[in-house]
Amino acid sequence: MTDQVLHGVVAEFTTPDGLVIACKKARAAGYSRMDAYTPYPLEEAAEAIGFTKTQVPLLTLIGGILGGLSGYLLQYWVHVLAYPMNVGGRPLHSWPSFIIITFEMTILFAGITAVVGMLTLNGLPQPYHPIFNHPRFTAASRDRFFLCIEAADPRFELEKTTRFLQATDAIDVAEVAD
Amino acid sequence: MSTTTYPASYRFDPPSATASLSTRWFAIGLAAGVAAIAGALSSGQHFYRGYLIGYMLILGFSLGSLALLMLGHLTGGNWWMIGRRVMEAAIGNLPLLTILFIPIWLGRHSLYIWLDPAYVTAHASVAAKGAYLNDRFWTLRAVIYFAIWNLWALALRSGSARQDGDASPAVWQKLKVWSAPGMLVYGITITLACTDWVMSLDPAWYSTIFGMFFMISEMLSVMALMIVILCSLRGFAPYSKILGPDKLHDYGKLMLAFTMVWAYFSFSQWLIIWAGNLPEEITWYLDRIHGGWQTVALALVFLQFALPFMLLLSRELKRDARKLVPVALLVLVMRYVDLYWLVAPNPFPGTSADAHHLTYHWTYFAAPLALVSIWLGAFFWHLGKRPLLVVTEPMLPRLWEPSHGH
Repeated sequence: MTDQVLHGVVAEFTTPDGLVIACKKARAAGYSRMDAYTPYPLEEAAEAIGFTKTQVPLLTLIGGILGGLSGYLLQYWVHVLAYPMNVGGRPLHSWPSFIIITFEMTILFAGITAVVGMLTLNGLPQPYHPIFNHPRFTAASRDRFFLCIEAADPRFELEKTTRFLQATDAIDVAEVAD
Repeated sequence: MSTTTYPASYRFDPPSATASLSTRWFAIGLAAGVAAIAGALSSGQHFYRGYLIGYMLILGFSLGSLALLMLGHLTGGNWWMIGRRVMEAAIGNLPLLTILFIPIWLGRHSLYIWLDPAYVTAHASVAAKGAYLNDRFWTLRAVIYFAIWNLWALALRSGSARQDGDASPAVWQKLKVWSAPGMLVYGITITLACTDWVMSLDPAWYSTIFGMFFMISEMLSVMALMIVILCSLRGFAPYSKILGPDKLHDYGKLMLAFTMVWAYFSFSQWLIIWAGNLPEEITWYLDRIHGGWQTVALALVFLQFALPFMLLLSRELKRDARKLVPVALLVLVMRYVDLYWLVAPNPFPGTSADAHHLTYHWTYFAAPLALVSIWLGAFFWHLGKRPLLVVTEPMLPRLWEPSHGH
């Protein structure tokens, strides 16, 4: 492995508790470039590695506002400018009846922006990731919890980081090539 | 799931504070009640309207609790296990609500214009509803509603008391058996009851979504009330141990959902009537968006929907009791304003006086305050009678587990 570029050091845990505690310790020790891998969504682990803020809510809000505006303006253009028609004597600009489409367009755009924004920001789908080089990593989708401290971390030192992870509840600590 | 023995520090007994809270609210209720009775002597018609506003509010606290309690028996949920005894104390007030209905029955001629024969003769569309809207059938229906509600309250409360000492599944299975048909019965009775007691104030008007609107309004009231009560008791065990930010978050999310459904039903009713533009339907709204009432209508749009909706979108706000409680209090105040807007603009029976201009009589405040205070007094009395959590609840240990344990 010596001539290969290192991706990071990976620790394997059997319980979510072990993982979360190790994540908190790693953050307290000053590590910042790390990732946790779990078989099911584990909100606490995300918080523990410092992944607290994401841009997705803001993107969703912007998408929702744009969707609502486009829905309203489309109706305004159709009913007032392009094809004005008298329906039962109601004003051309009948905003109450525009609300439903506006609402639906808000939801549609917000939903699409949330999904596309999430995929863009997290880089999925990702057919290759260095962590797959870990021989036991398939267990991350069954019953094991992994924490990887990446070599790109400014505080990363192979021996020190390995010893640090061995001091946690990890059942196995291994190096993973990039 | 193993049977969990709880550390000795975990206490489930209600805090003694419930007794003093009960006394305090009864005292406020008594004082406001005296004021309201003085109002009754000076202006009967205004008093009864004020009383009806307050009554529908506290009836909503109890019936909304009944609905959410039964829903929880069928679906479960952490928020439900924490709030269960609060909701059970609330439905314990249904016998009290039965007694408190008597003034409405006594004052029905001051409230309901369709009881005035001269009005009915002059209005053919109201005369055509005579088979349903008549004094005897109206009274009989009220008796049936209260019989049904009290029966369900009794069954759910006594079954729950048995569960305190008996962990056998048969006990809570029986509660589920009551809950499933109970949801259906609640839907039918509350639809008819709000038609009888609120919609019929303007007997010419009708709206088929009114019952759904009332149901969701009641559940919104209960969610806001539960947040206020649980947070005010957060200093006491066992709430102090379990009511963390993640649990508050659930309550906040539910209040956001009910706020949105409230707006959805309110808007649906209005949009359909606006689009139809039929004289017999639109008058109800015309009475409520002219003569000063439009201010109240706009207050509802902004303070019952827009403001709480935008605030509750924030994740941080939902997880912080100090920020969530003021929003819940705003929702509760607006529940009262909403009922005022539904009840007060209706035509007065027996007089030429009309309510087409914004009217606010001080009994609209005194009578609801008296009723809400008496309701809270009795509520805290009930809450102090039983452990605050049902210890034999099979899923209860989940409340102590870290949130990643599922």
